Amino acid sequence: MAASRDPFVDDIVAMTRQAARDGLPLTTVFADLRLVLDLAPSDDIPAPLLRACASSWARTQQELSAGPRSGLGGVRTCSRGDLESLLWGAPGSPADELPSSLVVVELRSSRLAASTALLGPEDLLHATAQLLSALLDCSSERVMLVREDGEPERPWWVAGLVTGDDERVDRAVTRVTALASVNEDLVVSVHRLSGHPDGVLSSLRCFLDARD
Amino acid sequence: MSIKWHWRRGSRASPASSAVSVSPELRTHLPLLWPDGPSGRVDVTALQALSQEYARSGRDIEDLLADLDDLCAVIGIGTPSSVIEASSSAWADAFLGTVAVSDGTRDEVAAMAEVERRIVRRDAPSHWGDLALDDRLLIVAWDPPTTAPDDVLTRDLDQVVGLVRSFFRGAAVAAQPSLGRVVAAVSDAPDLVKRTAALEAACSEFAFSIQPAVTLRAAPPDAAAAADLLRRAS
Repeated sequence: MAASRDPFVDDIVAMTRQAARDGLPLTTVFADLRLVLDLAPSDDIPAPLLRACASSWARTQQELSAGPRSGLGGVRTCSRGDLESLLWGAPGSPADELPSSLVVVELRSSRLAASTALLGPEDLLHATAQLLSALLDCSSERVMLVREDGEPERPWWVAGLVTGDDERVDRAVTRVTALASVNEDLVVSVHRLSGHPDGVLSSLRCFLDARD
Repeated sequence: MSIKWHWRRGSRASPASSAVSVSPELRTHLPLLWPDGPSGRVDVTALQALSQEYARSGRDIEDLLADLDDLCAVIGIGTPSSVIEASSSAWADAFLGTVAVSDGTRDEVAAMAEVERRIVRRDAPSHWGDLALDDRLLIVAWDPPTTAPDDVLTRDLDQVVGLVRSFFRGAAVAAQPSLGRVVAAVSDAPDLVKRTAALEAACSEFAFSIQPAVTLRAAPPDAAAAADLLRRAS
């Protein structure tokens, strides 16, 4: 899914993604879209919206069905937009469910020396994501493999949203750092999301923008 | 000197073959999707069948929509919203079916009906001239008929279905466990014979107890002949 410039389309895409996760068929998404747009059942939905919805629904479903098969447990792949949309509903959440920190694990270089690496770069990130996901087991916590939209060459990275105090964050970081010390190609960093005057979403966006 | 025609969007729809290049596999679908010709209505049943086949053969919804864009470009229109909605809904339903229905029975019946529908020779040349291609019937069968136990047969048939799909993009493929064979409607493209030989070679790479034979049949003249051809063993 290419990042859209139109915030309305972004909203529709986010709505579709949630509907797909909730198990709703695409026909239901289209019916809801007609309600949102105030269209009669016989009216055409604008083509760009249909395409955005169809892609978003299909991608979400494909990820959901691929997840358990690839043995990744609670880890999902997502784009930067997906990561942000996770926090859209954040202002309405109780304070103790808001992520306090973002743990980032990335590769030092996209090219690992084949002779020294037991695991390929993607395998390494998957393994790290799984470890992190085992540690971050609160329902409000998330671990994701992030790939940048439209930039297939750019290496993936792992994002772990941690809920809770510094102790919990430290524990997760310590465990992942232990793995990283075995393999010097992994870099672990922590970004505090709480404390930003405009909330956690703005804090996340500042961090993501700085990466771009 | 050759003149290229470019049909303007919104003008009366007509084939614009020189303006758009479309693969033979896709051209098969022109007379199926627009049975009354380029300016006629879209056959929604055919559109749904095509979309479901994309989902069953593991192709993305984006591929489906891009191919439909190409097909609509041939007749000089932008892809209508109704076509996008009907096709993506059908793709999505088939995708959920593929994931959820483990025994595949419902899917098998639908796949067989699609093969049957596609191999009946259409009233060419009609509206499409050289642009449209007929389908031919491809049969992959064991001779003598395989006596493999059910689970082995199912695995072998699945393997062959996958092979046919990978060698013939856009084909309608169905397994016939009762006859121990796989049938497919494949586009009668110039490279059909070459692809058939490649499929045969690929089949021999797999460890089937007996090598299956691949045969090509002409499109039967009517629905009754098609039904007959599909129901009896080759």
